[in-house]
Amino acid sequence: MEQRVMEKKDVKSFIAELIKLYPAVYGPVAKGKSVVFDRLKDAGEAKFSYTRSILPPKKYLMPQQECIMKFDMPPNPKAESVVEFEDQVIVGVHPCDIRAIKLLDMIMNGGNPDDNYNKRRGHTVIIGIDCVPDQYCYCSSVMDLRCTDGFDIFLTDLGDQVLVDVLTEKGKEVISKIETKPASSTHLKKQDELLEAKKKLFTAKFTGPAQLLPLELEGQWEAPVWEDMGKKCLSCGQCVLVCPTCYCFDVTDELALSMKKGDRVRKWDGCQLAGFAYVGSGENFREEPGARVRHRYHRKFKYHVDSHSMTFCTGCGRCWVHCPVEINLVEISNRIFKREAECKA
Amino acid sequence: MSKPRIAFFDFSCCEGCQLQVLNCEDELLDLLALVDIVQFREAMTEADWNFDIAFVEGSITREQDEPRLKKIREAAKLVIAIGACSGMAGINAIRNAMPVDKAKEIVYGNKKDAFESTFARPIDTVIKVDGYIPGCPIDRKDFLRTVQALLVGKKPPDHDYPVCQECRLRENECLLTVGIPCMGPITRGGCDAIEPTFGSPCIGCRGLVSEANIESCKQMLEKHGLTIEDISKYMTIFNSFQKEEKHA
Repeated sequence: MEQRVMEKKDVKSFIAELIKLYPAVYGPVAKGKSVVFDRLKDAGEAKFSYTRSILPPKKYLMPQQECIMKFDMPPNPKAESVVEFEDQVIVGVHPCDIRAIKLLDMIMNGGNPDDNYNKRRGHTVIIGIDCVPDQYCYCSSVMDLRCTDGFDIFLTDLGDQVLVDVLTEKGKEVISKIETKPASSTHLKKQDELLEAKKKLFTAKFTGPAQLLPLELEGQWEAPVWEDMGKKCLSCGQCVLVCPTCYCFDVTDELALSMKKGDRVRKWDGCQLAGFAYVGSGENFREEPGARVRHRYHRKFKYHVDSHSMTFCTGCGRCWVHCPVEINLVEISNRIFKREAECKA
Repeated sequence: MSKPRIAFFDFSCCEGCQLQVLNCEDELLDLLALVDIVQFREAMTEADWNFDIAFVEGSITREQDEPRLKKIREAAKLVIAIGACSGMAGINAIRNAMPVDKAKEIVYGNKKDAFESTFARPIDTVIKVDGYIPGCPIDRKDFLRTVQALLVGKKPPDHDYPVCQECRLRENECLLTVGIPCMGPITRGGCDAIEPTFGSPCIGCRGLVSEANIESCKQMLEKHGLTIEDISKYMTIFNSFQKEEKHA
């Protein structure tokens, strides 16, 4: 990895240059009191001092809704798959969302690679940026704070200057558009200090190591925490719809009003919605909200850890912020750790 | 093969759902390529009783409504309830909480005896209904999707998922996160979260999802500073008609 430095005052012209060079540049912009990723028309629109966007930037790799096939109905039936993509830059991506994209890269290249995702991913440049946690952030409990891969370049605000970690060829090309200097040991030391200081800012923490949760979960299938959360859960599905690592979708065929042709559409879906596990025979194999909460938790902290050795929660805090009844994975995790501790005592 | 014949009828309502059908301006010609409209008081003078699908708006609130509704049922192969009034008695059912005479007095004052009115009910308390298009008013796309589904013999969409799903996918700022009480989490979607998208909270016009966690939702609204009276208003503006009342 190459490390360079740019003047902070040059960031704006850097973004402006990217907007000129790439068909699409996306970044964090204000929406009401919140922030969303949106197309940047002007470098000044970007709001880099944000905590978290409503939806994660994953939406540019796997849109909320996309047409995956166009078809004609009989008598001349025809079907053609659709993959829409363009060269795009996502700027201002936080470490939690970078990690989430890395996890999605793994999933989307598993047994049955997802062409639509992979085409978009291949045409995407990711520019990461360091951040300051709030009371809902808990990435320090589930991942390494130092962002070492999953991006093309990563920016760390050092005050008057910005440290630029350049990881990939695409990153080198992007950074060549602006004047930078090689980073000195002083710059790197400052970055280390900032990371140390950041560690102290987290108020939401797991009481045990996240990597141990697959073991801790053994024997806790019937733990009271699931029913307690199930009683509170409204099954509104927001937690899974805002999650940067969730990738479940539903596929429907939408006929044009002419009834002669149509689109096959995939749309985000999620396991916390009551109908997600409802099957053709009329059964719902996760009928109780508590069973759904438990399933989601195991998807984040057990099943994928067993199969991919990675925790599928990045601690971004979106599910917590959006849950109308304040269900959060920190509380659940700590109850999982706690009951184990009681049993051992 | 001749085109299916469809007809529109209304009982106690504002006829706003039928207006939504007329509002499908860009799609009306395509719609007419698929079906013949043979009765539609809001749009045409002719009234033919030979039809396949009846779309019925409005609640049943008078005794004389019943034979008319039964006549529609007999004539139609399929009956679809359109709108909150027809499907779940909606706003009309608010008055069921007080004696009919008192409700009439509030609405008609000293002319109250000139009007007949009884208990407000959804149409499925009187006849069998084959499908529902919820909402106050109905969503135009939802109406067109339902017509399409019926023409190909599919079950119409039931949208048994909360408003929050479409609201999040549109990346609206969640009103609950900025302190505005909203019924989105337990209200049936399919409206593309039209209210929250424009900043007003959902008030439940499409009915509750089938697995609504009402108890937890009440507690959540209380945390947002609503009093029991406020919560009761939120919960009953559209959703006061209880299933048991259907047999009353």
